[in-house]
Amino acid sequence: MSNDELSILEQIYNESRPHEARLDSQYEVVWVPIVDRSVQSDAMKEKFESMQSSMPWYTVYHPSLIEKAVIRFMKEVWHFRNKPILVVLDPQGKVVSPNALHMMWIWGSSAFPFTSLREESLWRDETWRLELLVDGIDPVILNWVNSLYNQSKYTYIIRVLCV
Amino acid sequence: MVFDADEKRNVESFRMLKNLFEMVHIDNMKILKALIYAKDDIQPLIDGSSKKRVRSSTISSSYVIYLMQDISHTSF
Repeated sequence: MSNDELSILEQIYNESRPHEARLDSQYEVVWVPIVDRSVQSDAMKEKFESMQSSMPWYTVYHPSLIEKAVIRFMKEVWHFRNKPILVVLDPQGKVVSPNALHMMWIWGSSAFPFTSLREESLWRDETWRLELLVDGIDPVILNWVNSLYNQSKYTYIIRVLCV
Repeated sequence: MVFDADEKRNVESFRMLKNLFEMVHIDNMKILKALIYAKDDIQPLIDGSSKKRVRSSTISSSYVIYLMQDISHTSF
């Protein structure tokens, strides 16, 4: 995750905080820093502290609080590799989204609580809006959009069409 | 296969964690504590707005979005 991506996430987070009362249940972001124990150094410590202090949400106090077994679980079950992921748990601790990052980029906080059900409903509304927008322009565009609407890698194109 | 005690403990913790996620809970406390170690009642989180240390129970009635990041392999 680059600094730019992190600042987009921060922007979405800050924008959504004042509207939180409207949501059924609130959400909290927790940053989980994973450190390769073989590359521990002062530079790493500084990097961790600087990243931690810049974040507006909850952060884990120290990387050592993440046990080896937990890291293994995140890698094997949540498919965490080198790229950052956003895993969403509901108030009962059930995983409702195994990686909400792409939903966050496309929909921002309106995608909350990032379940696949919520994603489907957002897309349904969006295609309806597109019909109004492109109607009378070219029916081919509409067919094209409809055939793509469930494929997240094209979401950016559709997003641009909507603007 | 020969495991040392540490390795044995890790394998056991991993198995318990998997079981925990397969169970239905009435709240998320057990899950939150299992993911971020809370031995001896320490406060494992820092609240980003106040920069104060807090307990896991602070976020227990919320949806929790974990942002996992490998900082050893990230340029900053």
